[in-house]
Amino acid sequence: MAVPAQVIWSRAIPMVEEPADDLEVLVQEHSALVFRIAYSVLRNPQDAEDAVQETFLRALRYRKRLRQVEDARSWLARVAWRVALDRRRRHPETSLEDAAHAVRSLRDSGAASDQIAAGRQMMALLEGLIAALPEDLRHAITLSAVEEMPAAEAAALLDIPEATVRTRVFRARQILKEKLAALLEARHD
Amino acid sequence: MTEKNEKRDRFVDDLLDSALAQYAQAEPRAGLEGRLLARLRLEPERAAFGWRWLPMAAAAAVVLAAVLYFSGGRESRPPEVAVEPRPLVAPTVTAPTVTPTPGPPAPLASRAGLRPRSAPRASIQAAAASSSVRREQFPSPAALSEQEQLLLRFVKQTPPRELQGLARQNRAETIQELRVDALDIPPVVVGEADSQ
Repeated sequence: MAVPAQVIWSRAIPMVEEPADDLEVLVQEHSALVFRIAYSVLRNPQDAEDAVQETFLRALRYRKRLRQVEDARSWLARVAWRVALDRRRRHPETSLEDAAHAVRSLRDSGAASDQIAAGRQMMALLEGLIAALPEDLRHAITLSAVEEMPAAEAAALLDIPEATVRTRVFRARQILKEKLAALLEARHD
Repeated sequence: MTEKNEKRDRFVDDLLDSALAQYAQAEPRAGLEGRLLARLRLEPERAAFGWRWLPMAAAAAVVLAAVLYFSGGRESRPPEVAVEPRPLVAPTVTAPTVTPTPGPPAPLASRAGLRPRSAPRASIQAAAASSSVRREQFPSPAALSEQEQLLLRFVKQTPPRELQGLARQNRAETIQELRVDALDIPPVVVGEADSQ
């Protein structure tokens, strides 16, 4: 039987120094964003959830400092990003050729681009292409893929100007597009 | 040809846009907030548990360390060499008395920053003690040579009178051999000495 979150938290109150309503609010408001940031790096739901837990545990540990932070959302996003990068492991190399072959088959069968994009093979292909990018471009394109993450926030997280984020995203997209086109045309060569 | 390329480019653009849009759009499993809050609720309990037991753990560690120190310290010491403190005396009567060799002076050892090693020092002391043991007889008894054995047998078999006679005779011969003729000094003539 699932225990409501409110009940769980109310039991925790006597154990901590002060009421934890602020942290509970943070969990409710930002856990989805934190999860997506972690998932964009780790590419695995379970690993992403572990990273989310670690992020909020750090928030609990630094609650006093967190109260002085003006933008708790950005603070959480930054912590989640670092936790995810620390936890990132080398995934088994996906064969880009195999993934490209599957995507070509879908395209030739007349599937729409959004249908193909939703497929597992296309995600594997994109992950492989992004992983091959230089680190600065990879970080920029990864954060830009998170829907709730505007360029200004990504810039604050990466400690670079917003214009630099936009430039890097543009360059990353150009590289990805060229490589994707080459892979999809490989059959005709 | 150009139209085909444009169509291909547009397809790749759309495909990339769609794929990037879905790249980070994974949804967590249902109940993420509840799991998070439950996990956070456990954290203070763990911290409190740790603080409660920390002093007891520290005290136990101190006691254990003391027990190990006192029990292991005796066993770990190197066995001391049992050397009897004998006075070091030279074996001969005429030789001066030798006092025990003192160890290296402490200031020198401390100046060199070296800790005196117990094992070599013990062996040195043992060697010194063994070399300075007073012997019962000096020189040390050794087996008689062949000539000595013959002489001993002759002395035992010969009656004492004969031995005394031989001794006197031997002494007289020796004196005769050593007898020196009286000096014969001619008188000095004065005239001859002046003429020269």
